[in-house]
Amino acid sequence: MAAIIGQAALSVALMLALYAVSASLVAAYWHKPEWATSAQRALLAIFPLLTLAVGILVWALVTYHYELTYVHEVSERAMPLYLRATALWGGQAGSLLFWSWLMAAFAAAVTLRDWRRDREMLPWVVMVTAGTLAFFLFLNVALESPFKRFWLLPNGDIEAYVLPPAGAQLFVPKDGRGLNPLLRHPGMVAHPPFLYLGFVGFVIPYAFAMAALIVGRLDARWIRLTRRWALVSWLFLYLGLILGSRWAYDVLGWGGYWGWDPVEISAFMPWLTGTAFLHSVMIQERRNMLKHWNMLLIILTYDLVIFGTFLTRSGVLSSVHSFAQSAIGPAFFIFITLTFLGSMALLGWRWNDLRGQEQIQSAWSREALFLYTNLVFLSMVAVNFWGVVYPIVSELVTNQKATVGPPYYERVMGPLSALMLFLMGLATVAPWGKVDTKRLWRMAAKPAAVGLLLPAWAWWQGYRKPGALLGFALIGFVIAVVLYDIARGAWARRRAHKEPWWLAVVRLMTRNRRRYGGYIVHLSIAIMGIGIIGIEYFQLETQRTLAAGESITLGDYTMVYDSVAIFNTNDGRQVARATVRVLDERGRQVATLYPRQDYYIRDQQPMTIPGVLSTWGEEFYVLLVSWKPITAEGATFKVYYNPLVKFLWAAPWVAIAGTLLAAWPEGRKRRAPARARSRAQAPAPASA
Amino acid sequence: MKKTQWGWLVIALLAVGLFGFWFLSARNDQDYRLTDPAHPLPLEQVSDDEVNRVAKYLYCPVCENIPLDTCGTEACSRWREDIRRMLAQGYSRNEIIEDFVTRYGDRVRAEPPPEGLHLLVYVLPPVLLVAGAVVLYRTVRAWMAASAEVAAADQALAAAADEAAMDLEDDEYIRRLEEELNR
Repeated sequence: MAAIIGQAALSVALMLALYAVSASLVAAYWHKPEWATSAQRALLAIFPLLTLAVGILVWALVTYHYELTYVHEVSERAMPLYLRATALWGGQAGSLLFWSWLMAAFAAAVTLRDWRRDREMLPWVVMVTAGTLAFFLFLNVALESPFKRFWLLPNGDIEAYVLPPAGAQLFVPKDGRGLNPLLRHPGMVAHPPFLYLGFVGFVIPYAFAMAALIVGRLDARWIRLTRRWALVSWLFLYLGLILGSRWAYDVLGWGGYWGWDPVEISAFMPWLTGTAFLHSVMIQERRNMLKHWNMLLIILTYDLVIFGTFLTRSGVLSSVHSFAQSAIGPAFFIFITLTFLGSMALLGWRWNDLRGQEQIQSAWSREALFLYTNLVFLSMVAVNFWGVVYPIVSELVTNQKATVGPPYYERVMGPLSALMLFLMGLATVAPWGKVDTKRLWRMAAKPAAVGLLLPAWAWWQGYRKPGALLGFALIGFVIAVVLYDIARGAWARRRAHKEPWWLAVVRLMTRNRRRYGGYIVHLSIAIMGIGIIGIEYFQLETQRTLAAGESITLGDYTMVYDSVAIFNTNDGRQVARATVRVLDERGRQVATLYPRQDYYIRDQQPMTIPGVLSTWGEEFYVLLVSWKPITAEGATFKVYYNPLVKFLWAAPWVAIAGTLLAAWPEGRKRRAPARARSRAQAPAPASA
Repeated sequence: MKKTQWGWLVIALLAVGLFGFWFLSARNDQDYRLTDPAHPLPLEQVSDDEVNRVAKYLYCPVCENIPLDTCGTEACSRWREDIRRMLAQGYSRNEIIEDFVTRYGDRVRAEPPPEGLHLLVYVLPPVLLVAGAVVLYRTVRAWMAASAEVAAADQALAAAADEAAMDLEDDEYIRRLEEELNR
């Protein structure tokens, strides 16, 4: 019964979404505001309906309703409660439903905002969000229902249907097949929601952009309205990516955090275009230029978001992520093509109206430097896109699958990232408008010199590869530029307002949250860069078979193999757990690690869980590769020494702080006269 | 006119540099063999690290997108034993890779070989980059020209303001900062 209610809720939600699309068309075309309100309410009503559907599915997962095929597929009795509940996004149908649910929540939040100043955009925003939602709900209702149940047909077959076929009886399996072992990890519990929140969030700026194009409100209004949506979505996407990396590091057992897998890249691409968008819109707000470009960036971001969901969910590329395969591929392909061509047609139609004041006073002004970073971002996207798509092209043309692996990406992304860091530092120093090049170099010279402390420190610590030192120098430049800027600003405030230095720093930052929030995010990227250089350039690895008491020395540490214990658990694993002592350079024992292999007996799938000794400087990462029974010669270990990787894990916390600072709503009553003054001078980015 | 030529020169250099870099770095590292084929080694003298050094360049034929040196499946550990055997028999690294390619197809390579259609993998990214740089360069020049026209009108005014600003770099900075803070 509950399954039928769930399916009904989904179906009604789909109808409401389709109604919202049509009603908003009516409202816009025949200028009937009451239809717009009706469409708005329909969109709003989808959220409780989907909450009901999600609730029913979670309830079924938690309470062992294995007659539901989805529940049977992704859960089992032996799984702990939190995994059974979050198995909601452990498979195809459930994660599509989860996507729609988040989308509905965002859509509801948008419809509830104050629309008085933007009445004419409302129907189109509703149409685009409802249209996107309708597509995902269509997939859920028609192609991949999470509410299908097993039915025992009169001829003895068992098949899955939503509604009972004639003469069939409900078939209830005793237990489910259980979640893919790789997904049974806290990282996997958090990674998809964050990624999806990021994905879904970018739909809102896109909807406003399309509305602006259609009604011809081509100033920066749509950008101001959606700035926070874009910022917060960007953060979620970033956190989703890092959580995914962390999961890979902890679970996949290859000592790394990023494998240039197509599905990773498909989440990385919208993050790149989103980052370019966040920067590029500032130029439009400031200088009233790049209007075409910002439209293009948000269209690309939207379609890359859909493309990302498509790659994860369609199985068109086999990868470690393709846990699910089904016939939803063509539907996605059609939807992406239609929305992309439609958006581009709109953009072409408004092309001439979008002309702003396309002027650059100096090739080294901040706006020019932003343009160059745009090129670098887009090049990164193009290269990544090509790497993901090429195997499909190759298979279509030559009937042979090809692998485009990490060497391809590293070759391209290495130099591009270096260029990006350089521009990131320089653009922070460069003023808007007219720039005296000599003065710019002079202003950049001091932070660049201070930044050299980082490679000097790295050299002293023994990290001495030329590429890495160049990277450290660039990162040092970025960090120094930000700190220098904050220090000078605080110093100026201190002198002008006679404040103590800490108050000066706090006031400086809170008085211009957007600027300093952005700078703090720059720091986060720089910190992440330190971690990436550490592991990419200086990772050590070795593999050997040890008898009890023998040891491996790698980096600063020595591991001594003590014993291995083999036992069965009551959740269907056979566990081989080694006990390993880790000694530091002076022979003192610093840790005992338990690297292990979990063999999921029924899935016939091994999982290698590392034992990790983690310090601020490095991580000593031990994998149990294979073992022999106690009587024989011992166990094989693969050991990684990952220097500086801790910086990679620390970076997101800084980004959270920066984004919160940039996106935090500002007080309304404060500084009214100052604001009015600056309004009169230039189109200032008001907080919406 | 002279300035234009400099810009194009930089772009041309960028193009040549990129293509050179791409092709050079696409070439494999130096080939090597552990032993002369006439004097095979006993298997246990080929260490796991030697095996992984070769396996790193191969992709597992069954589990897609996982390098052979890290793949945990039973099949892959058998393939690694194949590599160990071949190393002991005096095969060179590239001979082993070629052997895997003839057995399982091009997709066991981490990158497709630069020939035929696969050349696109190597050629397209630098072409795109250079094309992007050219478009950007022309755009920036056009927009600077547009700005110069406007600026010519009130050049005298700007020059005076500039001179005043040159006096003290810090003051200029503080002025800019205050301006931003007051937005």
